[in-house]
Amino acid sequence: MSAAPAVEARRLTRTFGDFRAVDQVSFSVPRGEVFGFLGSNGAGKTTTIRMLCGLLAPTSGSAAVAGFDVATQAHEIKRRVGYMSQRFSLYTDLTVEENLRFWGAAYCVAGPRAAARQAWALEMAGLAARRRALVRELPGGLRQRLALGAALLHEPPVVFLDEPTGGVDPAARRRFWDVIDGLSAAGTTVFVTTHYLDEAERCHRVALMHAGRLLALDTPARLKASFAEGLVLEVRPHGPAAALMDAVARTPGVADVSLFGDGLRVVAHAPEAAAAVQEVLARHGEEAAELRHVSPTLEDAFIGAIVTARRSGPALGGGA
Amino acid sequence: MIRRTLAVALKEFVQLRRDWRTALALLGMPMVLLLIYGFALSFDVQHVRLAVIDLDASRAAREVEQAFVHSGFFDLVQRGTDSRAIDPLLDSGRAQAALVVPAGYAAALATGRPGRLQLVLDGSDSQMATTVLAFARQILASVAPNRERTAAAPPARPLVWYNPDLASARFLLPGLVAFILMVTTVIATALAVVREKERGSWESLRATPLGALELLAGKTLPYLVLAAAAAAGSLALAWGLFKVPLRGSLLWLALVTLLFLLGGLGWGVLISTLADSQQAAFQVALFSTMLPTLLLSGFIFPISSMPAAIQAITHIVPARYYLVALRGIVLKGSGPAVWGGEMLALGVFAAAVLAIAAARTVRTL
Repeated sequence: MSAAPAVEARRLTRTFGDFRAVDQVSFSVPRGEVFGFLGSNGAGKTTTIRMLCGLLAPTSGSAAVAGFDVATQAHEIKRRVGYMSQRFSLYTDLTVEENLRFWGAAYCVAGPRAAARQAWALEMAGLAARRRALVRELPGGLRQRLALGAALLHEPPVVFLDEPTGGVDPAARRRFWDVIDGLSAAGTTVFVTTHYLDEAERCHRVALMHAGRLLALDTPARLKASFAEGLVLEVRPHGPAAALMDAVARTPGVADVSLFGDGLRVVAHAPEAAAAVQEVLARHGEEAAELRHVSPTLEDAFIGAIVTARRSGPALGGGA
Repeated sequence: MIRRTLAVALKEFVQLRRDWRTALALLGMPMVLLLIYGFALSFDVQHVRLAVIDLDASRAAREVEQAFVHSGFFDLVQRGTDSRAIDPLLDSGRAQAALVVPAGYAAALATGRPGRLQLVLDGSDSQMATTVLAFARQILASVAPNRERTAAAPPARPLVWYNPDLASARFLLPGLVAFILMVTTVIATALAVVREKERGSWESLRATPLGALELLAGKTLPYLVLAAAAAAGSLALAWGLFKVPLRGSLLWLALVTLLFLLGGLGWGVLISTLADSQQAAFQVALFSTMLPTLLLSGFIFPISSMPAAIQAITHIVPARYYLVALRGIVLKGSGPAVWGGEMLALGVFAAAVLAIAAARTVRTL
């Protein structure tokens, strides 16, 4: 792996009027990494990707993709990145083959290489036998894989996938991610946004974005450890768990309570909350209720990171 | 550059072929509209229902009546001898004109005084009334006693060039062709580009190395071909079915038409840079082409009889220039010496609109 990162953002900012869609975001993605972007809708993920693809000029700050500046060398970047937008994948009124031919030409792939790459994409999507089928006749999972193939026709070193698996069934999603792992192993940098936690777990590193800010950036395991370790409790009362929900939610230090089987799942702000929850349970005649720490999910870490940011201001601002 | 433009054009062609209803509408609609309007839209006046009230009952009166009937423009629906019959006839619409020969008409002629006739017209259709009046004057001029009266100065004999029987089809069809081509071309191009925006594919196209100009040229090329085919079909129809002559050079006709269509394409693309939905694009395209081309191009209303302010506005309506050149080539067989200025104006309009559209596309890209 070369020293130059595949993607590098420095205090990247984009405003729309008074709205700061992306606020001083800095990060660096080494080559071959599967880099996950996690955040709610409107967190600034798509705006960041659009800037990195050279589709939107940054208001301030800078970013480089494959060594080229996004503000001044957009054309160079467009030759070196693949982009799969969340709104559109392929022309549904064209056949599989016609789509590949068109997108290949659009990405400047010509001659024998074009034929070879189209054959590769058909193979990867498992659509060699259905090359003359209209894309609208394909199930969502196959369509997404074909769209990924189309975005990779020019063998870009960096590929941006904006919620590529929206509305796709779990089995097809797993197959999609197998392809992503293969790309990464071959040295392609994959920059992916997702809503699904199981997908985020498969990324090498995950960036948590909230309200235009980058809250945290680390491996999924370390994110969980630093933002949610010891903060997630499971309560198994003897009586009905639902009756305790309100009382536990009002306990100082508790961030979130949810019903979980016949028990409650409690996410706390601080480790001290466990004792407070124990007291509340005792007051409700549940002294014997089982209370134990459980391993957090990435979602817990995300909630924890938001809480931490609220307390101490921006977690990761200027530093890269 | 060329290869990628052709790739976009090919993709658009395949999509058009698959969406054959749209393609057929683009190709066939101009000709269907031409058929409908070509037959319906006519200022020609024929078979005017005439009533004759003969209060003179003389040979001279009969001669006048016969002159009207034999002119071919009038159908005699009623003869009478009571002028009170005129009102109900015109009111009910059973007659559109009434010719009254007063008592003493023949006697006046016999003594060498001018005979007096009365023609009552239904003026609610002023176009028809004006035409009938002109016809009536012509007929009366040919009635013998009047000719004697004007023997000293022979009556002027009108000689109409290019369109000797003043058939309105010859005058209107070129305008109709311009009108239909403008409307369909602008709508088709505007929708083609906005459709990509609505689908979200525009964003994906922009993420490729495809340049704005390659995209625009590729997207519009199929529509230019289709519009040119529709133009050729419409003109052939006007020539074959409506007997609009084609006196001038086909080459000049093709060139002028191409410039006109390019302007329409540019206008369509310009609209697509402003509109975000197909519905909005459709409305703007329709509104910005239909009324100006209909009203401000000289299609129906002569520009020279418009108020000065309106005349100034007509200068930005490309159909105005196209019509002059088209009528010149088709009806008169005239060359660029006559309508070179109009051709230049069409070229300037096309170049300006395409440049603005391209600049806007690059900027919004």
